[in-house]
Amino acid sequence: MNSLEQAEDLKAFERRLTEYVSCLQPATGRWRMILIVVSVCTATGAWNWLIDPDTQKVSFFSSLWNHPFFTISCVTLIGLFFAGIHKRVVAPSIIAARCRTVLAEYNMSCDDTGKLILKPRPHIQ
Amino acid sequence: MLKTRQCLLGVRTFHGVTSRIWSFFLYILRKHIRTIIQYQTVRYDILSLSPISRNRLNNVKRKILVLDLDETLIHSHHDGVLRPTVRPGTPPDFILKVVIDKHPVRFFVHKRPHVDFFLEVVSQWYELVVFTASMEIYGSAVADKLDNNKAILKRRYYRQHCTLDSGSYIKDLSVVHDDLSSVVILDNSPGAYRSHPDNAIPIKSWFSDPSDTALLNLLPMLDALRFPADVRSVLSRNLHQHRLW
Repeated sequence: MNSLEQAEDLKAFERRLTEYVSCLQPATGRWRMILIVVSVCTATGAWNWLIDPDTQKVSFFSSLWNHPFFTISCVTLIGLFFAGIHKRVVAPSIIAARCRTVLAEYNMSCDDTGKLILKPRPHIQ
Repeated sequence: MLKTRQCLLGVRTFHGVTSRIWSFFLYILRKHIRTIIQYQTVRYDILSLSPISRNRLNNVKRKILVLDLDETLIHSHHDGVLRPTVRPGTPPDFILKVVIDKHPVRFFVHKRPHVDFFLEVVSQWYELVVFTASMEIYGSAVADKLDNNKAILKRRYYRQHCTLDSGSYIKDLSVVHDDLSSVVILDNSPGAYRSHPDNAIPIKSWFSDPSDTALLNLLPMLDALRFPADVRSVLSRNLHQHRLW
């Protein structure tokens, strides 16, 4: 096996890693947008709920009933976290981190886009 | 006197029934807690190839992935073990009844987390081969269970295909395929691939940890390893050569 073939092989190997990580980006972007929109809705809903003078007067549940926008967005946010949105928004980094744990064995690493980092061979003691 | 005896009997029956229900409840709970601990939102979705990668894949050979069973894909213990490595009470994924030397032995088999998903995904990329240092009667039964009628683990090699060297079984990959540029072995014991270190992917031995993700961690690497013409271009960069066997 000459070094040219090895370089070609490593390139093909790296190409799939980067390609996979970039394929994940659109879905991750969508999840990030959803998370931002729902968080902003919850925050504005919470603000309106707190500044409403009636909130302190009536019971907790009836105050929630008076603010359906806040209630719905809050429930949606909780539901999203249960569905693992906090993992989905960082899916490319999770995949890259998994890859790094295996590549470490081969004296390599990769960045968050999947690009390979070749390390110099350590000297045998 | 008779009334007291009847009363005691009633209490004993009640206690028996409730403890049985309680242990059944605990059994169900343990089984489900394990599923919850094992759950991973991000696994590894199969995403389409770019035209350049598809072209590359057509130009290289389809590779063979040789899989070890014990402590790599599963962990098992049998009746006679005094100190089982798994926590007592952990329900096994399946029980195998095997006759060894005319003695029936029950093996309690625990699957490594994500093993079914792992096999389902890698079977689309590689030709899978089971190579275990266990006896055929046990190894084939475990492989049958893991295969689950999907016909993905058809090629199997057992103890009789290993070579015994200073007390440890060595797996000779040339038995599986004569072209070593397209064979990858996944094994938890480095001794098994001693004669082919440049074809090996090491994995941590697994006994009982329900939060283990070693098989999931391998998927990006195995996906990319389909594309080199020679797997040794990547795998020969391994560091385990520097360690003493």
